Amino acid sequence: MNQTIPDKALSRWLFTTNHKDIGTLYLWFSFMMFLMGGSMALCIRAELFKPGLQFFEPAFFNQLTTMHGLVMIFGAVMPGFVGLANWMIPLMIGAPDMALPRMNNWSFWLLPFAFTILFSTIVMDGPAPDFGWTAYAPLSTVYGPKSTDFFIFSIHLMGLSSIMGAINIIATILNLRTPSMPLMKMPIFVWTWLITAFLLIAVMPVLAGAVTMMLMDRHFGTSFFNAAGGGDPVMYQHIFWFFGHPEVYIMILPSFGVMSEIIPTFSRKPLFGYTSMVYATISIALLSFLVWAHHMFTTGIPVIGEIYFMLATMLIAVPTGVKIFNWVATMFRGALSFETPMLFAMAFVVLFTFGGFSGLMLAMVPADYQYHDTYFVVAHFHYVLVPGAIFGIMAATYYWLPKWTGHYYSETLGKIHFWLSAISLNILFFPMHFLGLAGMPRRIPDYALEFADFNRIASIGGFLFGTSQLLFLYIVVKTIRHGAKAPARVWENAKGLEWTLSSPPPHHSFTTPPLVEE
Amino acid sequence: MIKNNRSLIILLGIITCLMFGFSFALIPLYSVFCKVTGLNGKVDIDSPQAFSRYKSTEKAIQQRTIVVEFDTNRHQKIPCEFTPAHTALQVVPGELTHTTYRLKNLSHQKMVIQAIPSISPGVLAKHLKKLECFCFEQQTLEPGQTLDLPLRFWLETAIPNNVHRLTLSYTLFDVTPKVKEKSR
Repeated sequence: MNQTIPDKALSRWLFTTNHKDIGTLYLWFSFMMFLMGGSMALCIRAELFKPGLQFFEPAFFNQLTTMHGLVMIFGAVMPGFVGLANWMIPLMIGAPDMALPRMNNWSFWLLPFAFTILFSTIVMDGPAPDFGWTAYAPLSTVYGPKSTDFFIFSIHLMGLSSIMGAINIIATILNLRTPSMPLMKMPIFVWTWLITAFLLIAVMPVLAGAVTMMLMDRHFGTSFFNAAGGGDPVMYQHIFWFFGHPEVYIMILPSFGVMSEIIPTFSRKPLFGYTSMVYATISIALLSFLVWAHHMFTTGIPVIGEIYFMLATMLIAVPTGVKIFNWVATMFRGALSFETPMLFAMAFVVLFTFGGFSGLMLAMVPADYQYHDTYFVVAHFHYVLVPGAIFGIMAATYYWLPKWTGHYYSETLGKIHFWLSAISLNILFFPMHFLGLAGMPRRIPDYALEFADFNRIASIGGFLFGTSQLLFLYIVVKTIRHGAKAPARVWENAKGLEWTLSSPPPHHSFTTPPLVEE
Repeated sequence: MIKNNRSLIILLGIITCLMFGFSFALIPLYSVFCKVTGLNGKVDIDSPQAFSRYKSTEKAIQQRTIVVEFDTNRHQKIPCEFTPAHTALQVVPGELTHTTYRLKNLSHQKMVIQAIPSISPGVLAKHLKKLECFCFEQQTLEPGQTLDLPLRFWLETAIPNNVHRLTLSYTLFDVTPKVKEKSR
C-alpha cells in the first residue's frame, strides 16, 4: 500500500481519506470550538460577576447562552469523540482504515460549513438565535428572529455529518474487525462507540424532523407547534427531548469507554466486569429512549406520567452504578500509578458521580418543581458534561497523544493542567448548586443581590478554568513538535492492538489482519 | 451479521429515514395519546351528530351539580373584548347547558379569530362534550362589530364523583394574516 503522505498541505487536509488525518482534523476542530464556546461562557461569567448589567444587553446575553450551548454540544463534544473514534477504532480493531473513507472526509468537512453558517448569525442584522439551545416553540417559531432559518439549516448539516459519521463507525466495527476479535473481545471504547453510533442514527433524524417542522411552521403555513392552528407547542418539547435525552448519552458513553481503557492500564489489572460493562452500556442506551419527559415535569403531564418518568429515570442509576462500581473495583488492590490520564480518569469517576447524584435529585418530581429552570440544573449538567465528556476527551488525548505523535508529553505540565482544571471547575460549578437551591433562575443576565457572592466565586472559577485550557493547547503543540521518544507500547502493561504499532503509527496501518493478544 | 458494506449501509440508511419519518408520526400519536389521557386538557371536538348520541346515552339525570367556570384569554392581547355571559354555572351532569360569549372587535381592521379551548384539570377533558361551539370554526368580525357566540355542552354522567369544579378556558388567536396568505 502507498505509504507516502501528499506533500501539499492544503490538498492533503482537504481531500484526505485517511482515518488518522480525519481524526486529527476532528480533534483540532473540536478544540477550536471548545475555545469559541468557552469564550462565550467567559462573557456570560463576566456579565454575572456582579449584579446589574455590565457588558451586554439582555438580548445579547440570550444569544450568548444559546450559542454557548450549541457550540459546546455540537461543535466541541460530539466532534471531539468522533475524532477519537476515527483515530482509535481502526487501530484498536486491527483495521486498515475506516470502512467508508470518502464519506468520512465529507462528514468532517460539513462541520466547518455548518458552524460558519451558525456563527454568521452573530454579525447579521437582527439578533442571532436567542431561544436557548433547546429552541423551544414558540420562541423559535412565532417569536424566532430571522436568523432562526440559518440555525435550522446548520442543525441539518450537523445532523447529516453525525449520521454519516455514525454509519461509518458501525460499518467499520462490524465489518473490518480482525477475524480473531469476536464482539465480546472488543475494547470497551469500541463497544461504547458502537452503541453511541446506533443512538446517533436513531435520534439525529428526530432532531432534523423537529427543526424541519419548525421551518415549516415559520414559512409554509403549517401549525405543528401553533395552538391557533390546532397544533401544540408542548409537542415540540416532546419531540425535542426524545432526541435530547439520548443525546446526553451520546455525549457520555464514549467517555465511559475511554475511562474503561485508562483505568485498567494504570491499575495494571484487567477491567473488572467486562461483560457487565457491555450490558450496562446497552441498557443505558435503551433506557435513554424511555425517559425524555423528565425534562418537562412542569408542563402539566398527568401524575401517572410523572411517576412513570421519575421511576424510569431513577432506573438509569442502576447500570450507571454498575459502571462506577466496576471502575472502582478495577482500581481496588491494583498497582496504581498517577500519570495525567489516570488523574483525569479518577476525577471523572468522582465528579461524574456528583453530577449523577444531582441528576437523581432532579429526577424526583416534587423536588424538580423547585429546581426546574434554576442554576441547580445548570450545575447538574455542567458536572456531567465537563468532568464527564470534556475530561473524557482530555484524558483520551493525554493517554493516546504519545501514540499519535511519537513523543511523551511533559508529565509535570500535564499534572499542572489537571490540578488547575479539576480545582477551578469545582470553584466554577459547585456554587451553582447553592444558587439554584436558593432560587436563581438560569439564563438571566442580572440577578437579585443575595446571589452576588456565589456568582462572584463561580466567575472567578470560570476564568481560572478557561485560562487553564490554554496550557492544554501549549502542552499538545509542544508534544507534537518534540519530546521524549515514545516506544510502541507507550504505557507499561497497556493492553490492546493499538500498542502493537509503532509510535507514531504508519500512515496506513494493519495491511494484514493482526492476531489479538491474550 | 452483515459482512457486506453496501447492504449494511443501506440498512442503516433505512433506519435513519424511518426515524426521520417517526418524528413526524409522533404528531398523530401525540394527539391520540392526549385524547386518551387528557394531557394538556385538549378538548374532544365532536361532530354535529353528537346530539343524537347525547340523547341516547345521557338520559340519567343526576342529583349532584358541578361548577363550570368560564375563563377567557386573548393571545398577545389582541384588540378585542371577549366576555362570557356567565363567569360560572351550576351544571347537572347529563343535562345540556347553553351559554353565550360576547366578542367585540375593538380595532379598525377586519379580524379573523380562532378560539382554542382548554380544560383544567386536563383529565376531565374527555367528560366535557360539546354540541355546538364557536371554536369549531373561525369568526370573522368587521371593525367594531359585536358577535354573540353560542356554546352548548354537557358533562358526561361518567364524570368522577369527587369532581366539584372545573374550568373551561378559551384563548383567542388572531389568524387574520394567515387567512390573507391563503386567499392570495
